[in-house]
Amino acid sequence: MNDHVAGKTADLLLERQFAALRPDLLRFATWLARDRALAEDVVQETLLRAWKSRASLDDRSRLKAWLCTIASREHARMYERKRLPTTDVDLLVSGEDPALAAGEDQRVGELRAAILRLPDDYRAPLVMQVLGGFTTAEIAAELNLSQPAVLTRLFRARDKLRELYGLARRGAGAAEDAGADIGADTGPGA
Amino acid sequence: MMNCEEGRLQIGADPAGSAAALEAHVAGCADCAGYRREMRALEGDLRLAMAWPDRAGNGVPMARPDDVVPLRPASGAPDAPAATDSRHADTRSAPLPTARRWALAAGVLLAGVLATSFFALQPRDALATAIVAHMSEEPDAWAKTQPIPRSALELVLGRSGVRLDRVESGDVVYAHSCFLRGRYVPHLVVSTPTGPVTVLVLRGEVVPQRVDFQEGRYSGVLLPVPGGGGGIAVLARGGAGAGGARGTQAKPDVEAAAAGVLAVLKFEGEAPPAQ
Repeated sequence: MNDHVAGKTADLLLERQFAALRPDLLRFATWLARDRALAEDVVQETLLRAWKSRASLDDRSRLKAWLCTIASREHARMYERKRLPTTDVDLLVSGEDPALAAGEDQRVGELRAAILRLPDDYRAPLVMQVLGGFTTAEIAAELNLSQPAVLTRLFRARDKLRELYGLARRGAGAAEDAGADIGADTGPGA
Repeated sequence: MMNCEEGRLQIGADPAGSAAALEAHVAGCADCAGYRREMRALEGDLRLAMAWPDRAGNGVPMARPDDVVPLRPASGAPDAPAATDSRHADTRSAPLPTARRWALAAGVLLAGVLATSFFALQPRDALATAIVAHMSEEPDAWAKTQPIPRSALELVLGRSGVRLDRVESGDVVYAHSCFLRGRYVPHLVVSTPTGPVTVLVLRGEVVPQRVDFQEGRYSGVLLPVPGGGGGIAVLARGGAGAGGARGTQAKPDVEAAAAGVLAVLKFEGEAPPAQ
């Protein structure tokens, strides 16, 4: 009886934690999917799966990382299951809430558009690192890549943003080379 | 000794990184030091840019309704592979020493007592309490005024096997599938002449009889769906709405909305089991 009540209490608390983390998950999924409706689907399937598997969550302090892991897999699974409509990035950017856009720094808005334009291969590890808090090793495990490949993709993603963001490129060397052949993981450290 | 190529790779992969070898290189290379300054400045803006959509969901790019693809798990998809992770593997299989067992038992007993007290102190109907608690998680839903597309409404309803026949979709200004008590629940906000009301379609919940409730800023009513299979909750903001004295009639707009929803509500297929 007490176990039953304790379980119910734990479920109630977990449900509230899920609710509290939902905006973070939606943000994470939105940057992965670049589509609100699809991100909503990812989040909802994520929460369903997480709820079913809640007994396997030993460390509540890693709840967010655990949910982000499930979300990234769910996002990948959706692409495996269906050929999703191509996202028109210009439409997405122009579909931004004008009130929000107007109140923000234009440079941040430009950077946001630049992130949306990054190829999936570069955007996904960046989102996982910045929003999901994943380590390089965790990103490598999730994306089935080597750690050097993840480092290269993170480097290239940021370097591309730096370029798109209009920061002056300094000198030659690795950044120049890697930025030029974006799309392959054979750059430095790969 | 790290060279510029290796240094920039590390900086770009993690601008906040400060490994000893990197620090040694940056200390002696003005170009790489400048590159790191730029990357760190970019990182601050990057985090600001990615803090979007905000917690209320504003600023999210919306797909055109026609592009929305209802995505459901494939029938042959594994049940929950995504949630199993070696980092979270169960490590509790080893038998516990006796002292720890007693400690654990005492802990469970204490948790039980606390939990029992918690539930015993829960005000009124537990379902109503959960619903009111849910309202605080989506406060901005009340402020919506633009009608949502019919396709978006159907997407939300379809997820829970719910249909609303003959509903004027223009009256629905918010629709979202919300996870409540182990189920996905259509959460709608309907615009009425006297203000917005929230409707939750509680398919699969046991609602044996009408329950009027008033908690915090919200008042409303829980009603069973004729024919069984669940119930609906209809809420309005404002303290005196559910009829002031408990058990009496709810506000007129709540009553009218509830009657309107029940008149057109249909459940399709089997109710999804609670998770």
